[in-house]
Amino acid sequence: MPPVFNKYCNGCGICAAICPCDIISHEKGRRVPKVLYPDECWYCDACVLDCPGTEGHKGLELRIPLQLQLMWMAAAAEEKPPYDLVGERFGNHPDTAWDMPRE
Amino acid sequence: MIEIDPTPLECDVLAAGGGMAGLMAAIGAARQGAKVLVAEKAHALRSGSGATGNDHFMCYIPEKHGPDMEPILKELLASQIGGFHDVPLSRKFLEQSFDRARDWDAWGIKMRPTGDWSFCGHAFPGRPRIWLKYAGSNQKQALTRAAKKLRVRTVNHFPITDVVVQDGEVIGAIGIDIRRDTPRLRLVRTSTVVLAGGSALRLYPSPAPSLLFNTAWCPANTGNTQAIAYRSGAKLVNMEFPNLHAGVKYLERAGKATFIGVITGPDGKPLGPFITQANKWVGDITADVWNSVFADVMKSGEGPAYMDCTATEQEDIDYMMWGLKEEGNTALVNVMARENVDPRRHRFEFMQYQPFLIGRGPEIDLHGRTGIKGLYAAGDAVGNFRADMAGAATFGHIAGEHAAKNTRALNGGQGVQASELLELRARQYSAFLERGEGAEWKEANFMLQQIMRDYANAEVRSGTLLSTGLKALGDLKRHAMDRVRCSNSHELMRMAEVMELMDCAEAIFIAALAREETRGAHRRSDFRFTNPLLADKYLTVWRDGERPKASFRQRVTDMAGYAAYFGKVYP
Repeated sequence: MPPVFNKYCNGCGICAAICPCDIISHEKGRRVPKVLYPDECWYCDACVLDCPGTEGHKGLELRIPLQLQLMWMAAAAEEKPPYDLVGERFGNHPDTAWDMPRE
Repeated sequence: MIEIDPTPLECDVLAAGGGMAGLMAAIGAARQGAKVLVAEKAHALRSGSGATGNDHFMCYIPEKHGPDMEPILKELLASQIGGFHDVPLSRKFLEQSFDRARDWDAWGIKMRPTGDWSFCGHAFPGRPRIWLKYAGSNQKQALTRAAKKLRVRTVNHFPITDVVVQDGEVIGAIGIDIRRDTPRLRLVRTSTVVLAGGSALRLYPSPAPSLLFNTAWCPANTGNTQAIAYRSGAKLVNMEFPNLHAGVKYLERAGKATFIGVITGPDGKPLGPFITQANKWVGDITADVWNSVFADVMKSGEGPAYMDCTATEQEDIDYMMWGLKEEGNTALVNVMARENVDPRRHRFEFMQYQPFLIGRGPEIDLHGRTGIKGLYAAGDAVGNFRADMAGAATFGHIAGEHAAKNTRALNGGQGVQASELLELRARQYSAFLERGEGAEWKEANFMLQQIMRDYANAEVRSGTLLSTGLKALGDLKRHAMDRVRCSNSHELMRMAEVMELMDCAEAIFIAALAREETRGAHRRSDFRFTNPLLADKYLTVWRDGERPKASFRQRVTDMAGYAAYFGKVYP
């Protein structure tokens, strides 16, 4: 999950050495480090920041899990209800208000 | 049995933790000519809450603020970090803060990114600005380099888990060498230790319950300093007050004040009275003073609340994005880019996070000492002073300096190798490692979070809830010690963290039980009032043998009060 290595990884192991949460393992002779504890990632980006990579590219990137996706909305919120009402109308919405008939 | 390295490391001053406070303590001590060792759980280049940067440094600069420090002190004490200060410490901090800012500047941290010392953010309109805006993305590299230049020795991947105290004096420390898959214990022979373990995260659940390490401050900070101090018999203070922080929804991040925007409701109208448009000098301070705004509007149904930067000028947005990068929020900046989220068109939902410990912990005197001879504390873990990054820098340096001048010869006694504490830890750790079947450390951590969320939260507390929680915590401790199994160094380190968290939790429960009133986010349903008689009373908790103690003391506001309390307690 969190850090994902790509073809630009040069196998130096800096990411494994500096990870504040000790989630990456790099064994000598093993080219690409391994993420041993993906769910202990802090998403601090230190591994990416310190990655020398190759050819000007980083050898890994941070994948943010779906649970942590940003919650944002456009500045002007939609005024219209996001559905079509079929049949009778009840409730308080100005478009759908329904008055109690009096005896 | 777990292997114990037979040769202890030796030093005059040990910094337990290589974060900002630990490195500054090391530098302060090394400047006095001491032989200094930094023991760091991860790697000093990128560890702790300052790992990837920061952007605000509380600072008094006479040439900018004028010769009178008093208005700045007043502003500090009124700020969101000013609630629990013994004031003589705040004064000493302010007096030395600029020296440390200049140190950092000299070491290559951009303390004057605009060319001059400039203060912005966290400010009330029309009031003095006290937060120096800096660009700290390289701060850990710079401090590591500065420490190395002064011949400080750093041992990485070596978390200190205990300090050994004999006859009321520090004689050494115990840590776990986690460089190899198989852990071993390593000892440090030293007469002075500066505890610099940072805040305590992972005590309460993450906003994304499945992700234990989704925390704003560093999740490897687990109340190490508070726990070690508590175990050593030092006094913890202000533990009953939950500290709450807010920020981007679900992806828990620090740096709320870096956003240059207005906090609005769903209709786009500001929720606070301060501003309707933000700029880089003055942001919306609403969440600093109305700490629970994001949670309140969710509970009332008026929410959610947003960080709204849509009215902010593009120039200020650029400045904000630069600030987010410099304070280490590059992961967030990258997500925004990937998802095409534009602060001028989109509003970010914000939320209140669960409490964590910062500015609650061991009380220190003007030299950074706890009440135990040779034991110092600095940084986010300190309980009677807080100034975040600048606090770590200033009081870290003060503690290191004083420790270096007050080392003792360690001739008498059998030393750390023969201590009962070492024997106990070796036995406990070996049991974790030798158990074939068992619980995972995570099970204990999650259970602890459940207990804290339900019985010691920031919404409602009571004698019955707290007592129940404390009992559950005791059971958890016993079960965890009897049942957890660790298969390697990494897991043993995590379990040692859970042990620290459980000790912090105990101190929180004791303190919360003892403060029989409602004050701030400490809300007792069985004591609904705020008792004026307790207004300036700090509550200390400590362990006397195995038995916890709690005692109120006067908050220290001047040197007479300081002499009356610290003069007696801290010989």
